[in-house]
Amino acid sequence: MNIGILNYNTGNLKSVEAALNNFGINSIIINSKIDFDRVDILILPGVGSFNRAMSYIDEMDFRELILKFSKNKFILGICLGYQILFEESDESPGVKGLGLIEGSIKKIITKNKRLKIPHTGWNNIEIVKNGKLLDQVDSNELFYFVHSYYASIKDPRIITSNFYHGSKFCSSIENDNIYGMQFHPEKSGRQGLKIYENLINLI
Amino acid sequence: MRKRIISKLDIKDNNLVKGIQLEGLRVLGDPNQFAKDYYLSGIDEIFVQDVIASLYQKKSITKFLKNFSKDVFIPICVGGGINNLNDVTTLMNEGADKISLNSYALKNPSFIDELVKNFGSSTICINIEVKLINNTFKLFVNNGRDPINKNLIDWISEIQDRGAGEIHLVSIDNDGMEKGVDINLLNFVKSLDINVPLIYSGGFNLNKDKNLLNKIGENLDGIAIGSYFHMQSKHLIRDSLWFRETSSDNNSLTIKDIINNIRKDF
Repeated sequence: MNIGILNYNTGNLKSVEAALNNFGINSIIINSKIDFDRVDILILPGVGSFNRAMSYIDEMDFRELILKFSKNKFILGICLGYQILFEESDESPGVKGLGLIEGSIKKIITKNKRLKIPHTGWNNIEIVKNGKLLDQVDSNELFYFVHSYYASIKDPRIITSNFYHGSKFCSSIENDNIYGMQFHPEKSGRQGLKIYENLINLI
Repeated sequence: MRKRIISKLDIKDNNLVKGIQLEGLRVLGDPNQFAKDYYLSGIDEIFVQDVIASLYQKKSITKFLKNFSKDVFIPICVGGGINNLNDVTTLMNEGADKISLNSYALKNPSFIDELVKNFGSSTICINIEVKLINNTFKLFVNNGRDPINKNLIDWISEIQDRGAGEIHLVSIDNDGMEKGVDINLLNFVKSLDINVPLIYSGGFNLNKDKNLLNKIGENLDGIAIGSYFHMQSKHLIRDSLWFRETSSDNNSLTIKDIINNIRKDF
């Protein structure tokens, strides 16, 4: 079983690599098109902007390969990597996301002045269903978030957890073999590492 | 959302250092050991800065990051001498989650726009070093060395307009003093229009501040602590002289105890 981390110029690779390494997994950094065939699980990490991420994916001709990969293998998108799974984003109007999940990325707007944007820090998630990746993760656990945009999801049945920041937003999804989380499991201490353990156990 | 308790690590030539009022740096030990210890004690985040990088353009921080990401699984904000997009890409690739700017942002404010465009708002943190002079809060750069003629209120508003995603406010007067947080500064910023996360650092002391933070820290999203944590990490400190010069009165408390105490009312 091989896990690949897509290098698409958005950073955060090292932290994801280290989280997997913690369980003795040596991941493969996907730098070029030929690397896709070497892995069974593809992680889209991501810190950065929607436009920068998608531009790089298109520049490298990764789009078709990711879509093909999604047909029969596992994909986990984290933070920005989760947002690009959707169709489009308010952050970069006109830029096409991967469109693997129906819905779009919108700017978080709160009326309460005490609620800051970006939503940065440790927040509770409310688990709707544990699914595969949140197995043995408790609802009262805190996870690290850092983002200004959220996913507005067409089919609520794929939501596995929500968080509150003024209103309720989705914090993770599972749609068959496609997984996504707005928070950073590799930056969320012990409870985050549990998610990586669950990911490794998928195969 | 939980208020963040952040460990502040100052680095110089691969060593953890700490000064008083950003001056007179002493070498304390291996920064990676401190970071790991604080992580295991339950800290929320690490803020690391290369304290001389903005003066001499040194980059010892990437070495720290290489070791850090191996076994510390919490966010890290990195600062010191950042003045181009390549620096940021390198730091992010080495595991930084956020990057922090002071000197270069003040001299070239449009660089903030460029960073936001490339890395997203939530990645960009602006460090503001402040000192009270003739009853006015003045801005400083180069780790508290050089004053800059710009108004604090205007600057706070400008960096938000340019899209920075976090503000880290440092009281130079209180830095490393362990005499408690800068009440005047916190009262001053309490009334300001700050819509992004605001982190304060400078002088934290549990005994002085524990019943204070909930009153004046309303607008704060976190507090960054340097000396006060290092003081409780005797087993990691190489320089025994450092203890004689500082005056912590909580020697029996562990880092975990301190964190739990702060969380009680902050």
